[in-house]
Amino acid sequence: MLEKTEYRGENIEDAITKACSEIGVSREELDIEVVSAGSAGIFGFCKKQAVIFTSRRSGDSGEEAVPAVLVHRKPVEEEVPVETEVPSVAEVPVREESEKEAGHTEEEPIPSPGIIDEVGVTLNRFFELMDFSAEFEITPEPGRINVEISGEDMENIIGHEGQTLNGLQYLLRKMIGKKFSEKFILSLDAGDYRKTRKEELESRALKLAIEVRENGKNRTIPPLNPAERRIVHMILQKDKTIRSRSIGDGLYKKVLIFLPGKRRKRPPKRKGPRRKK
Amino acid sequence: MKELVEYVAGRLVDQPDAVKVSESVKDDTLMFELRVAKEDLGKVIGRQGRTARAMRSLLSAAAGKRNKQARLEIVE
Repeated sequence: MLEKTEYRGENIEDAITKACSEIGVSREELDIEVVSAGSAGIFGFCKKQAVIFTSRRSGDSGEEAVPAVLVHRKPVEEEVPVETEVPSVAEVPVREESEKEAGHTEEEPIPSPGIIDEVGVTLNRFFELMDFSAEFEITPEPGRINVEISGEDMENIIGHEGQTLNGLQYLLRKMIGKKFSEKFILSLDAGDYRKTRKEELESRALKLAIEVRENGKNRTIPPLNPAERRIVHMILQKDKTIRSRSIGDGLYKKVLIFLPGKRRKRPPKRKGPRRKK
Repeated sequence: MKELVEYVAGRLVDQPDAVKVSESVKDDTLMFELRVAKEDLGKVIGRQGRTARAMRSLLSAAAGKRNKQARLEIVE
């Protein structure tokens, strides 16, 4: 092997460029080993330089497979800063942060009274036509309308696994959407159904997760709608030892709970160099 | 209950005048046939039949209260 030379730069890209220009060869002719990816630092402090080792490739000598052009550890690669600019003053990143935050919490408007009225009128008509005795309370929030249904026929309105409630919510939203173009989320609830259902799904998910972790077998939760799948994925995300994924087609999908590393679909990547075309 | 179908369909389509619902009874089952303008078929069916499914579940709930079953057909 040829001797290795160390190069440093603000990031890997920078270090490689330096190496190329100093040795006077193109990038393809170098073997590069990343020692440290470097770090942009925080507020301009704690900057770390990227360090690489390079040596000229041995060319076309019959030697067995020269390692891939760029050999480095994966986690390191992820640390490579995307922007090459390093903020030199403390103020810069601070301002960026507050801007970002402002963008995040951008206030969604409270749905207009016209819409809230329409929801009430339509829902009343629904109950009348379905011959259900029920009352409801509408609470507008930014970007959202919550409707709490109560009364004698509550069970019927919820239906099996919330089917009727979800159907009503969906149709109501569509009917209002036909008249108003405002964006908002419509959420119907009846007697804590959503909360109870959420808790039920979470406990089921956690129970299956324990089984998966203990005996390594995959488990699935029967088909759920997107909102319910979300609940399952969210609670399982906290557990780093297992993974969850939706499987199936259509609106209702099953949720698969599995151990990472298992069920690998593709064979592991080849480590050798790419074959020449 | 026929009115329920008419109401929902009428509010989803572009041509509410073309909405027609017929009702028939067979034993314990209430049968509804919904007709809409050709251009509006997609609106009452919905993506992957989601709208049709929602209408069916509302009909079933309403029928269930009367100890009946309901069927909804969307006729082309």
